[in-house]
Amino acid sequence: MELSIGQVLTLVAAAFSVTLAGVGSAKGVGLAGQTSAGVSSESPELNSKLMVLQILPGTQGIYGFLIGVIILVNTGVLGGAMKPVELMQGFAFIGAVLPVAIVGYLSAIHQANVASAGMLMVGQHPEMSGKAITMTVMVETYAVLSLLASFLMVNAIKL
Amino acid sequence: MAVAEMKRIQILLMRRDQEKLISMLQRFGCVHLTQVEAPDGEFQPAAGLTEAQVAEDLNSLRWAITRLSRFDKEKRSMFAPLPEARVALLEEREQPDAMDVVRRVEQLERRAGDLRGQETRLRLQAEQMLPWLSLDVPAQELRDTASTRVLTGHANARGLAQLEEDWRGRSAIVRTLHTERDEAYFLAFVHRSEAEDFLSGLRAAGYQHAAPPPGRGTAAQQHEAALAELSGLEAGAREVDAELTVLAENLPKLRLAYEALVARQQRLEARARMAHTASASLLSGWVPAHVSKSLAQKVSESFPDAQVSLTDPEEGEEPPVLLRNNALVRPYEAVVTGFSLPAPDAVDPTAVMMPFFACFFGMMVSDAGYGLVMAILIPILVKIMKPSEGGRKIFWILAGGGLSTILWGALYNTWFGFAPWPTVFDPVNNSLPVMAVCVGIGALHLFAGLGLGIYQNIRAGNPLDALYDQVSWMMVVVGLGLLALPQTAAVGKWLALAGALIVLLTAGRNKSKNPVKRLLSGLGALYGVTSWISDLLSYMRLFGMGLATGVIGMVINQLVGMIMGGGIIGKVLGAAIFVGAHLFNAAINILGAYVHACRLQYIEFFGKFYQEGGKPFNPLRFSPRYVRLAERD
Repeated sequence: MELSIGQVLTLVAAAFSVTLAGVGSAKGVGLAGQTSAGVSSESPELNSKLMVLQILPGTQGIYGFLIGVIILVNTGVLGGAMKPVELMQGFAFIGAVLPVAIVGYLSAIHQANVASAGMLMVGQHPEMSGKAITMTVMVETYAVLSLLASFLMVNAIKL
Repeated sequence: MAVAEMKRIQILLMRRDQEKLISMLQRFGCVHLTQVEAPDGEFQPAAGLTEAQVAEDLNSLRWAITRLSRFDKEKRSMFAPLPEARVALLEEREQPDAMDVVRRVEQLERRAGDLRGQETRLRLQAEQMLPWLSLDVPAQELRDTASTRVLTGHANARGLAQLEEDWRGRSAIVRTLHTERDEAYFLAFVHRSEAEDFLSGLRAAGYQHAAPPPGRGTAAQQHEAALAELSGLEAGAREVDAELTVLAENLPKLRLAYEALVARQQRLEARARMAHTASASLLSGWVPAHVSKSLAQKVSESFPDAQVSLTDPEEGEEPPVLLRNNALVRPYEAVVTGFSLPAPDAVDPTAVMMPFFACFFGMMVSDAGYGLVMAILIPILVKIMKPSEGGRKIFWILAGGGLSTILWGALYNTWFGFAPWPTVFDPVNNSLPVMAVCVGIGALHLFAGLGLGIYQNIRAGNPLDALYDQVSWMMVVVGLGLLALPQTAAVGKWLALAGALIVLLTAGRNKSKNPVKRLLSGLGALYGVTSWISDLLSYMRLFGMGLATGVIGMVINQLVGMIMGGGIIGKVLGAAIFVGAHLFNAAINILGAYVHACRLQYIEFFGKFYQEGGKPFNPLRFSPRYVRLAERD
């Protein structure tokens, strides 16, 4: 199969979105997991509360994956034959994934920091787990907004 | 449907009856005790003599329960309910049997500690014998004679071999006993006349003096003896474990004893909160108004001598907060308490919040198949698991969310990631209407918050505050919304301007008397328009999270579709992946939906009106951890 440069750029865009957001989430969940392990070793009964906090930074990876898949669906890669993509459309795809890739990467790490601090708080005051979760979810707003922006842009590129 | 009204209850009774009264109140579980301030020295708080003893027993019991749980053969399934216990059992004062078990466990633990200590010592001994195993002479018999010197120790293996070679045929014998990496342990005999020479050769090979530890018999014999003793110890440790395993059968009894002791501790604490004279006791606390009459009556019936008084809270007193809602709304109290209880005189938002919470949850999970499974499975789980009150609330929230998910999933036309018929309301291909609906529902939610604010202001007798703080903002937001449509733009403009004017003039009314400063405050408040925009945008997460579920479900199905093509194995594997992947997708999205639905309440909705800060109503009652109270005694 002969790929045009536009098609290659499209695949790069999809890869970019999945990879950056995914790496951010992996870092985030990893960091939060370490804190969770530390706090649980002190108070094992809190483990399930901490688990919720640990997986919160994981959603960015899902958002990145989502945008990647939508690109693959829209360009027909998942349907079997890839549609022709013009050069400029390829660049447009790269631009469109930037929000979810970059914001996803950074917000996952920042969210993990908040989650970790929240876990320490829950370790001291288990009754405050609701507030710790709320604080952590505050960061996620921007990941959701970037997901929406990327989604709208990707859908706006008509092949 | 609100914060429960509280009455102050005071009971004055004969001191000899106080214990019976406390037990009775614990059974009813509806009085939140407060500390009685003893007036002018006449009343004395009870000395908590036995409290320390109870606390100590509790500690040992807790320790014994954890220690024995490791030997518990009864593996309880995750879904099995906690065992049931009658209230009368939790009222037992003394637990002699259980404490006997605890003492026995403590003895065994000491014995096990001893055994471990001996084991370490013996292992060390056996290890020290290892280099000397091939030495067939007891250590104390290795002595210099008149003409020979006996040397033991270790040296560099290669150097020693060289030395052995060099001294072949001369008056020294070197026997290598044991080699450990590069070090060789040896026994050497040398004639006194050449001892110095030999020693310097040895030193060149890195000689260090060492001798087999003294003891009876050869090193090998001692080693064997140590090993034999060790296996004896192991048998001892097994005996201890075996006895602990037998004792573990007492675990249910211990757990019950623990609960009874906790209940007793709470009764003692209650006694300490009361005030006592030589012959009388005074108790004071809060009781929800709706049960106060019947409680007072029951107390008077059981204790004819007692004086019971019920009064309204006095000015400045802060009664504890208990939320009271009907069965449908009650589970959602968990969402409110997860944030913070409302202040005693504030409004309980649970009932207004409930439909929004369920709606948001459904929009975010957004797969009718998942919703169907939740709505069917969760009531069954509640039936089987019989969770505690808090757990049950969460379960019912999820079940209600499941129903709402069926509705929204059907609208989005997503059933386990499939779209069985043509979609009208399609978030992937025609997303603008869906987004508009999200923001629209968000606006409704925020207005409901403002509505509660208005209600709160009017109830507090400040209808003008409602106009200034809430109605004005409604005008601004509705007006700006109307601007978007050309037909209503003119109305919208004036409405928004009027609202903005009210905000500008009144927002600073409590901050300063200076009109200029007031206007400045008003300007600052008007800037709050931006927070309205970000609040409304925040509801876009309803769309984003819903989209995530749907698209991932679709991807799962596509993958499974590819695998399904591969014959029988492909079909089996595909089915397994289908179930596993959808379970994962559902789990992660249910968690996400719950958390984000909470956030929309806490930040956006509560931000518009909520007055937090109530202390929880925490009555004297039975609140067991390990057992479930029997519903009927």
